Amino acid sequence: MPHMQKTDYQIAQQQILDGIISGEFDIENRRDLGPMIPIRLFQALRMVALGSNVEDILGQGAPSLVYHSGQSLGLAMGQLAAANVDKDLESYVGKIKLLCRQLSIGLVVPDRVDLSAGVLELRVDECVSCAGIHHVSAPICHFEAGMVGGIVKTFFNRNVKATETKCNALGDKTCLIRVDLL
Amino acid sequence: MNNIHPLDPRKSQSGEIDAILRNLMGIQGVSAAAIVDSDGFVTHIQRDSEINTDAIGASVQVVFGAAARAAQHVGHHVTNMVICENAEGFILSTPVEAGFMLALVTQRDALLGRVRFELKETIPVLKKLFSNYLNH
Amino acid sequence: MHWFQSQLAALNRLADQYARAQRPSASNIVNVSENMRLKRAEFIDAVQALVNQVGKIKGISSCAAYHDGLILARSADVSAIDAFGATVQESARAAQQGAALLGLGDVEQIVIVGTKNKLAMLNVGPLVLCISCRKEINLAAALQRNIAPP
Repeated sequence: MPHMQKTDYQIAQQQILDGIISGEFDIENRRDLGPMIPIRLFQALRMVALGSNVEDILGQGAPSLVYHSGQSLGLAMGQLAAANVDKDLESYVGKIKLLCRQLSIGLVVPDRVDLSAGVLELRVDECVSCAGIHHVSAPICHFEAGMVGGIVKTFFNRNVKATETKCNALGDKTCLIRVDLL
Repeated sequence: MNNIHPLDPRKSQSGEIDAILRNLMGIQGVSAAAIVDSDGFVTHIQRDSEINTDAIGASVQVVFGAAARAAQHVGHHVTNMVICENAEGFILSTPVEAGFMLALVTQRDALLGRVRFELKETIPVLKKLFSNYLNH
Repeated sequence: MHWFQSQLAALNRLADQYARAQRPSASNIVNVSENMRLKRAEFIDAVQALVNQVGKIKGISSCAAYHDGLILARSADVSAIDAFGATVQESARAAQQGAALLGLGDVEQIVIVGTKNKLAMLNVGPLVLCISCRKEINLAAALQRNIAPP
């Protein structure tokens, strides 16, 4: 592919991911308001800007875009967590759990790890995307599924398929993401 | 009558899906043939060079979704195929079943009518294979 | 029956065999799928072979096959393939309307003769075969014998 100049969104993405990777959550130009935002604002961005609005334009392509976006974040988080863990899955998961808590993404709990079957299931309790949302007809946390997929993909360096099999917004009380190693 | 039945129908259907993709690769100028699921994940692929499957899978779903929406806006109802004509070739995408898509990537020397004819003729079979495959 | 007619008849037989393979069947879908692919490949390979052979005949400028106005097979020297395709589509539409008005039945051939060149379009199964040559060439005579090696 020919060398292309970074777009403004790519420049912003780099700075945001660098900020996450640095572990430094304070942010400039927010002296009074600070780094935190109300969860409903995040959900508006996730379910409206990156949800229904995208769906208006992309139709059935919307979940793919959201999954892919989540995967990009998961790959960046994976790189951060993979540093100095010496390929130890437990340490890696520990760092991911901590990172997800720091970023208020949710409380990540490994539910099932069956490496011989190539399957991992991770619970995301208090999921940032769907907390307080009810009565949907199918799982809606494609972003988190993509993120978990990206995290697992980074550790195993293998293609994976992540699928949300339970969703709090469906009444399941938690979000469960199944990752198949391919 | 053939009394030999495959032990695992799902496996034989998946094998036939791969055979169909290999057949599509045999058409002049076709450089990749892939099945993409509704999340943009590539489930089956045949290719003659390295491709970022994550990116192409998501892009195919996004492009098809956008084209299908545009078609609805102008009252064209169902979208059967999206063809992207690029400087170096074509990308064709066609819905199969349950959100799965068949995508073909070609070089510039591909004969568009040949590729499109093969796609159109292949889709009904793929639909049947997938409805069997997903129900097993 | 001269050479080209026999080739067309063979192509039409292959097109029929492919159409029969497409009919719904109770057989295992995997076997049906493979059979359809083989029949389709036989038909398309035969179309490509005929296009190549006709394109090499002395007096013939070019030969191509189209499906829905898009190029499907072509001899080595076809230029303006999209213009050919557009002509196929437009001519077929006009001819079908005319044939319906006049009760001619299904359209089998269309010939456009210009002051310099002429173009013959022949329906073969789901495809249209296009052959172009100089106006003064007797197309039927040129196609009677296969001078080019197969």
